[in-house]
Amino acid sequence: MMLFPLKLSAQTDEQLMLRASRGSDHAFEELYNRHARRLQGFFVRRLGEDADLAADFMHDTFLRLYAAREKYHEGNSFRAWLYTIAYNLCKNHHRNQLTIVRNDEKDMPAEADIEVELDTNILHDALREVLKNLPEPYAMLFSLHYEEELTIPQIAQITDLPEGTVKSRLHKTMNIIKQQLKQYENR
Amino acid sequence: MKIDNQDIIRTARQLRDEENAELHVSPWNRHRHFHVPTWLVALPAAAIIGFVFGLWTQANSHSETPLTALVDTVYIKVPMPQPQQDSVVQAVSAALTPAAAESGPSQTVHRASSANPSQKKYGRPVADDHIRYDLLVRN
Repeated sequence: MMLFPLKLSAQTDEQLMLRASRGSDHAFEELYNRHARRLQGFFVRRLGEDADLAADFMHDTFLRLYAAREKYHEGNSFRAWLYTIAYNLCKNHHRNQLTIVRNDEKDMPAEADIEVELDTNILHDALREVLKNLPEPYAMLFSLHYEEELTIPQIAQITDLPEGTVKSRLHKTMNIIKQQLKQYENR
Repeated sequence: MKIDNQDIIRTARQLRDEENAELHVSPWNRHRHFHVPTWLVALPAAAIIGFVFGLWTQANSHSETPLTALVDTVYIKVPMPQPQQDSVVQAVSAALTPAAAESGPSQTVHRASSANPSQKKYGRPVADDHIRYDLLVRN
């Protein structure tokens, strides 16, 4: 045991979560301050730009985490746990929509590299539109991997999918994005 | 410009940061779902519980109290025949009030309650109004 414990801001997420699991509310508050904004942004993008709903979901995620804080085991990834709760909340919210989207998977482009030529300024606005209209299972994987920067094993753990499936779907997601971006080439 | 995966990822993260920066994030509050102060709930709740308890006890006291308990005393007027002048009573009354004895025998009847308790009494105690007070029933 350390005689002079590190400042909360200097500790890793896992160290803070361990302290929170032992009853430190300050450690949990530090975790909230670190991740709340990013998680709320994730919900905004995944719940269709509904800011109030996203704020509720974000807070709900942290409330669930707080209620289950004593179950945290040393060594587990905090972010993976946080996004598992967030993913399940989104999944419940989109349950009916996901069923519809799954049937459309056959129509997705084959796994081939698509070349796109775009101006950087156009890419910014075009990508915003493309990501908004991306089918939900692909949008979720894209968000978890590229926006929230979770690793493929973590995503596999969160989504309860094999790592190979996650990889192939991410590749397919990139192809869908590129194919849709091609529509902006001649504008 | 030719767009590759890295361009898309970089732009997506740029969009993410722009969107996240615009968000209003409320501070951590683990009691977020309970905005109302507890005392504001507890006081009206206590008042309602007290009111209901009062009604309940009042209803119970009504059912347990017999109707007769509300009446203190029941008076029964028993019609009695004219009291007979007892010779012993006459003699006692004559000794006590000689003046009254001279006026007539009808004036010599005494209230049973006013008689001296140490003195021996005979006959039934009858009052002036011909009510048998010894038959008063107290419920």
